[in-house]
Amino acid sequence: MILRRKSRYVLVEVSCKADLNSSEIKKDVMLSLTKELGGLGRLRAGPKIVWCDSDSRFIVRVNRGYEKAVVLAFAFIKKLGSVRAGFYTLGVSGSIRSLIESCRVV
Amino acid sequence: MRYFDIVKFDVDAALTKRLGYHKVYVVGKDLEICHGTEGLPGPKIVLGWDPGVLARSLKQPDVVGMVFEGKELNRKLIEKAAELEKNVFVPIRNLLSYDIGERVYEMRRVGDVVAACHKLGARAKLITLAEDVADIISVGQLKELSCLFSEDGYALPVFDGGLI
Repeated sequence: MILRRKSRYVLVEVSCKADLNSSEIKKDVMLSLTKELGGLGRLRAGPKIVWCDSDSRFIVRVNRGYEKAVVLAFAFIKKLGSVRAGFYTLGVSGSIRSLIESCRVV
Repeated sequence: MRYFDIVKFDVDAALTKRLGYHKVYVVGKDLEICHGTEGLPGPKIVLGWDPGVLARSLKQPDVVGMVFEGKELNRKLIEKAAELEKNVFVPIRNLLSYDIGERVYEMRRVGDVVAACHKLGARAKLITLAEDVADIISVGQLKELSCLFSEDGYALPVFDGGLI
């Protein structure tokens, strides 16, 4: 029997405005995350952007147990494309709904 | 717990709240950074590499803490800060902005300072001293970073009475 893997959701805010729905930006964020976590770390954490608002916030789904590593990795990322940017993690939760409620997103 | 940070640019109240800080002190507005005993009256952080100058400056009543810029740790200086109950601020801006290779050495340096302060009973506090919005981090990130140096959250910048 294959058990469903439990996830954690991390709400991230970018300091600059960007089109977060564009695939290039998402790819860039994931590449930066891979650089910080390492290839193996990224495989284990399994981060995936599951929600973006239009300009500065997005939610990343990660495997449970690796959310702290992902939160710290975002602190070290200082570029988005060619623009200098900071990534702030505003909250971590077990479901998107509770994350949105606790951080009052949307 | 209520956390604070010290930065070099004007942070708006909304961002401060979103990041989870109780207060973000702005250098030049809420406090000054000086390189000795000189400077305007008001809360100050003394910054420098000369242990003698730093130790003398710490005796001033309006100096709330120090930032040691030297590479070699000075045990007597940390003991002095502990004796006078002054903060030892440890800036992490370089740590956050350096590339992975340089970050390892900076991490070791910050870790050494935090460990020495912990051992000698001084109050070490990690601050970003951010120069723009890209340098600042949220409280959640600061907590994870402080866990790298001390698992009990000893180096977190928590209010413990007074201005800082």
